[in-house]
Amino acid sequence: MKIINCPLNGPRNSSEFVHGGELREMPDPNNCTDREWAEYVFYSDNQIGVITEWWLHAPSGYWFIAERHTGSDEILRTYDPSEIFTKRVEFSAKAESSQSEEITA
Amino acid sequence: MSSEKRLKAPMGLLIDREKPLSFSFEGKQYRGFAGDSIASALLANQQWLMSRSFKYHRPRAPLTMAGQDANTLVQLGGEPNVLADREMIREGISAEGQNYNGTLEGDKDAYLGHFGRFMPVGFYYRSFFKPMGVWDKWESFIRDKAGLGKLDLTFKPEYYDKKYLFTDVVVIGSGPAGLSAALKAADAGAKVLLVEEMPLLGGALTYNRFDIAGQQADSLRCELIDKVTAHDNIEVMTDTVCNAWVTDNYLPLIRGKRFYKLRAKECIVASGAYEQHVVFRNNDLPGIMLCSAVTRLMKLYAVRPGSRAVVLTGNDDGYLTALELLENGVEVAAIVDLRSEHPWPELLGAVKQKGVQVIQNSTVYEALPSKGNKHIRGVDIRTIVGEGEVSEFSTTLECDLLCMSAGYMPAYQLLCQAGAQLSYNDDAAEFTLSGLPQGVHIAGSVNGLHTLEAVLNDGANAAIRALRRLQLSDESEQPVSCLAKPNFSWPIFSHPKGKDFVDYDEDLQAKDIVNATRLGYRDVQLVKRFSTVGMGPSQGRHSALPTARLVAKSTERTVTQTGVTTARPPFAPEKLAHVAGRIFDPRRHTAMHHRHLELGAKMIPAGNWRRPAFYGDAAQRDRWIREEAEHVRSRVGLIDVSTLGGIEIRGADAAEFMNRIYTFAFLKQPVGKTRYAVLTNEHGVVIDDGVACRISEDHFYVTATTSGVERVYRDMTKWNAQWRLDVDILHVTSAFAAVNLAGPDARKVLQQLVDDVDLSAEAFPYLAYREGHVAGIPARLLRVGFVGELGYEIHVPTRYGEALWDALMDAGKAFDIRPFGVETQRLLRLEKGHLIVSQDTDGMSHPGELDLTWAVNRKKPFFVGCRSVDIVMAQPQTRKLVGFKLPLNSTKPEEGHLVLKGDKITGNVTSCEYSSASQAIIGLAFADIADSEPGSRISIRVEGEEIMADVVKLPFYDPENLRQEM
Amino acid sequence: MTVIKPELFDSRSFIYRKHPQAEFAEVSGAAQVLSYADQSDPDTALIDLSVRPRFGLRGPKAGEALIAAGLMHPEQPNTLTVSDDGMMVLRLGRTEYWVLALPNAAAERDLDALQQQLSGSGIYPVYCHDSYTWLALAGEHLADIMAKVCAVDLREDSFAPGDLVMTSLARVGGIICHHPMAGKTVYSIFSDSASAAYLWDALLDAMAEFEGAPAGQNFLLSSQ
Repeated sequence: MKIINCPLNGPRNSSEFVHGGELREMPDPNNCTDREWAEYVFYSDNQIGVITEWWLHAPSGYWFIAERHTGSDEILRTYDPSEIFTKRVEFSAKAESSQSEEITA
Repeated sequence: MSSEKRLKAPMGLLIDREKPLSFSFEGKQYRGFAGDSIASALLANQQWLMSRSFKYHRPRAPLTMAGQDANTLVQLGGEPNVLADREMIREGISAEGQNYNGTLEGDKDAYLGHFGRFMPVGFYYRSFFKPMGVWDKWESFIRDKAGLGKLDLTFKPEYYDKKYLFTDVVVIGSGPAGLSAALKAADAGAKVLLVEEMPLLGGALTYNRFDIAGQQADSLRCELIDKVTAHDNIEVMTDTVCNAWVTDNYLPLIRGKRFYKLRAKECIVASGAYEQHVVFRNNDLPGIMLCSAVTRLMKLYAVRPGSRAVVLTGNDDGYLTALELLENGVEVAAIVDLRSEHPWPELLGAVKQKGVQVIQNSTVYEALPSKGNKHIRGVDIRTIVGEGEVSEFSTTLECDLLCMSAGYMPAYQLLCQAGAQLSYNDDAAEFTLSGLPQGVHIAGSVNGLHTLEAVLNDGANAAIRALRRLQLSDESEQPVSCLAKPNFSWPIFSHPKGKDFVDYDEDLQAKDIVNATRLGYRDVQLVKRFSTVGMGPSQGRHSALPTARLVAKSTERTVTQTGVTTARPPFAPEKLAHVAGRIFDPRRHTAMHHRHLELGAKMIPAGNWRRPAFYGDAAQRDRWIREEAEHVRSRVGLIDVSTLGGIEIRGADAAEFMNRIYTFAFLKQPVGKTRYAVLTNEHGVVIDDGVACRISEDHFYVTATTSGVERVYRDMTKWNAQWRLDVDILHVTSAFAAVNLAGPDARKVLQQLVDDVDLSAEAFPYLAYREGHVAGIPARLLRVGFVGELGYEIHVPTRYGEALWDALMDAGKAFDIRPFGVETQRLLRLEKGHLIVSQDTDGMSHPGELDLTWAVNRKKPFFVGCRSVDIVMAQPQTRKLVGFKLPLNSTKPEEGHLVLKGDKITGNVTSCEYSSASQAIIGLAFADIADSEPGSRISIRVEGEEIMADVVKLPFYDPENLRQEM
Repeated sequence: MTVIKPELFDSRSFIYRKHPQAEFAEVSGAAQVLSYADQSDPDTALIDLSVRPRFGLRGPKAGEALIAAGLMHPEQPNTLTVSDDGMMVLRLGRTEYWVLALPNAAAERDLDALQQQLSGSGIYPVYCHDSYTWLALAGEHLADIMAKVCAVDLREDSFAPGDLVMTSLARVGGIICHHPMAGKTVYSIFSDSASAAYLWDALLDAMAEFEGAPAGQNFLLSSQ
């Protein structure tokens, strides 16, 4: 069984981890084209090479990022997501947006 | 019972002559010693015949004496396919031969051998393929003829378990290379685990002869083993099979009834090499063995293998075997040497001095059988005149033992699993391994080294490579050279009458392999699949090399190009018990679990949880569900909903986070209120739902489905790893025990236990959230309507769960409170038209199909899946989840039954129950969009019958929602 | 004098039914197993500490608050501290802490008051008393026993006193903490409270070959 080196918990069996998919940049959901959105949601390059992925160490609930070569399956580097995600993400409001909530609970 | 005459000590390393044991084989009593294998004890008693071959039912006896051939498979009590040359005898055990009709000695199916030429490879499949159905008629007969052993269907499971192991360096194999590697690594400070398949350390040192005097192996073995066993850094596991190599040196080890999973930092494979047989006619007769098998018999078990032997060899080891035989009182009629070159002069001199005839450049062309092919009685010797070709001139020698050695095949399995490549060295006529991954090292004869000195040095070198990686040494490797070339390049002498076996397990002859290539199966992988070569229990240990050579020659390619078939795990057969033994199957119980059992609940699985389906015997399921449902509608019921997922969202950005995760709007959700919360994934598909309680401005408590909460929690934490909102996400499912107290009398029951919350409809209305105490227990109270009656969900810390249940059941006595189960709840919510995500939805269901657009806010800037929801909702809708109704006397559809429109499948039934509240069969189903309006009719196929159901407006029960809002 | 039994209290161990023959004492409103009747101390014991007081906190300010309250702050993630008065502090990951009263904790330690003190913005409570069962495996052969349920190397060389690991044991998520008590090796195990009965049985099964047996908290107080 493969060993994955968790930045928080150290090297552990891969069975302790959950794959979270490739790291991909989300296009602006309100202003991109349908095609751009569909490519983001559905398409994957599937190239041999180093890809950047999300992995979760399930027992500690810790998400981190791994750079893995899809050919050799070698994990070259793992690190905390804060290395990439450094600041609060905001979503731009849609042009005609109003803040009213007509549905009350 | 024959009295056995064993050889004198030091022969018999494994047996304890002080401990005689008796056992039976084929109903006859035999005696042996503790340490004997079944096979050695039988051979000591001149009982050679141990099994019949798979296809031709030919008599078979041990070939390797090392558990590497299928000839010794016997039935041991209820256990089939036990290796008689590995299984030690115990007092009173009873073994039987396998694969015969009548008796092992007088197999009525032995005639099958005579039909060999009418039974080519693939005979059964090709002959019984047409006409259709004929295979069904013949199958049981054929399986009976070709089967191996009998299963005992009355067996009782035994305790097998598993354990993890950890070490710095593992050494697989304790021959001279392994011992040397282990010592070198341990001396440098590494923790070493030494794994040996046999009961005794030493590998070839325990049986092989390396010098003319026959001293070297024993003295070296004793010296090395003394050091190893005394070494603090070495742990030894004998009788242990390493059954695979898995990524990052994760190795399954099997010993006895335990399956170990070893994680090693460094792995040294010193697995040795398999001596190879010579292919000639009748090379499977009892009395024909590998040289190493014969020396094992003598050295390990003190069994004299025969009285007059012929040695057939392609290397010097055969000469050493001859010396060993002579020393133990076996006459050697001749050494037949496949080579034209002589061995080293001193060795040749030593055998000649003992009067042994040496016949060079010759082979055994045919072994001559005694009556019924029971034993070898002589050999037909011919001069070799070309590759696989012999002269017509024949010399016959009488013998009762033939020892053979055509060379060695590295035990490549584990290394190839690790990624090593096999290539064939034409000069040495040997496969060699290269291209090992980091952390895996090779040493000894598996590395193509055959002299003791080279093997010892190679072991040390492997250890040095491992130590350098462990940063325990910076020593350099010493050069190793070995001039010995033990492999004869073409030890295959095909005979026109066949029975020249390449693969003993599968009764495959040389021509079977060649014919496979002529039929077009040119790739060795295809040859394997067509002919079944290498598929038997010995997994190509002896057939891979001759097959590669035959296929290469027949297809005019090199042996390297031809290669061998993939050696997948397991390396040796493993019992299902090893895999199945002590499997962990976690069960989750709610705090009220034992109360449900005491009340006679029928428990059903819900993921890892166990939940009450209803209370009562399963035989009257429908009755209990109906009664429980009617009770909730008319009086009051109590259901354990502790398994419901729970997540807390806290922090300044809590509302913002909720707003991004769920489809609804949450920024302005009032404190003290609950709100339905639907979750879509990035594809816009509904994946979960729950109820969000706003406990304070910056604190939400949100429920999720029992099976969905884990995923919801993971998604939430992953999103916030990107969004970096000021929010804390805590999974609290197990922290709370929860019940739903539902029914017209729910308030009256609860009133008795609560004095710090005003329960009146005005103060605590439908969909409100309050905190207080129930029976003195701190509680979160939610006014919910899932089952459509006045209801309170009460969530308390888990440790109080049982006391809460008891208090409510006690307070409810006056109102005839009754517990209800999850199946009853499913009916009640169906009557209210509430969907259950994943039961009433599938991997395509978007909010529009589920009539959930009211729970989607498209004015906020974002929620997960928002753009996908926009896109799919803008497209023409094709189907919709609708409610349908059928009369009570109609055939009842089941979940999964198809909904049709003409010939077209538009969807399926997702829920369907008898409803006494509606006096009808009610259900939910995906219908074509054209049939989705109330008043339409949909066609449901139920067991071949088509039923027309009315599409009706939801909910089925209490459409004004008056009852839940009381 | 009333004999103390788990059902006398509203707050109960998740697995109190596993101790039908045990002797109990009241510990913060619940029944704690003191010892198993008619049994001398085994070499290896499994002890249910589920009702012992504890609370958790996490968030960006949790660490500072802990230090301010005078508790021993574990400096590295996934380590623990034990104070002389029997307070154990676990640091799970970077910003989550649990504060626990070991069986030898000074009686005057009021965890409820401490929890009140350790609240405020940037600090979020963790309900570890209810989410997690607390079992202690103590005595001999602990690494061997754990190797039958857990794939992490818990031999002394790789798992020192003061270490903790978050991993999977017997296929359930859990936290294993190494903290010697009374001269004995002790592994405290925290795992899903709903799986407590399952894990209890799985551990007893793994201990069987070493003659391990259930015991009470007195096992952790008496020196060998």
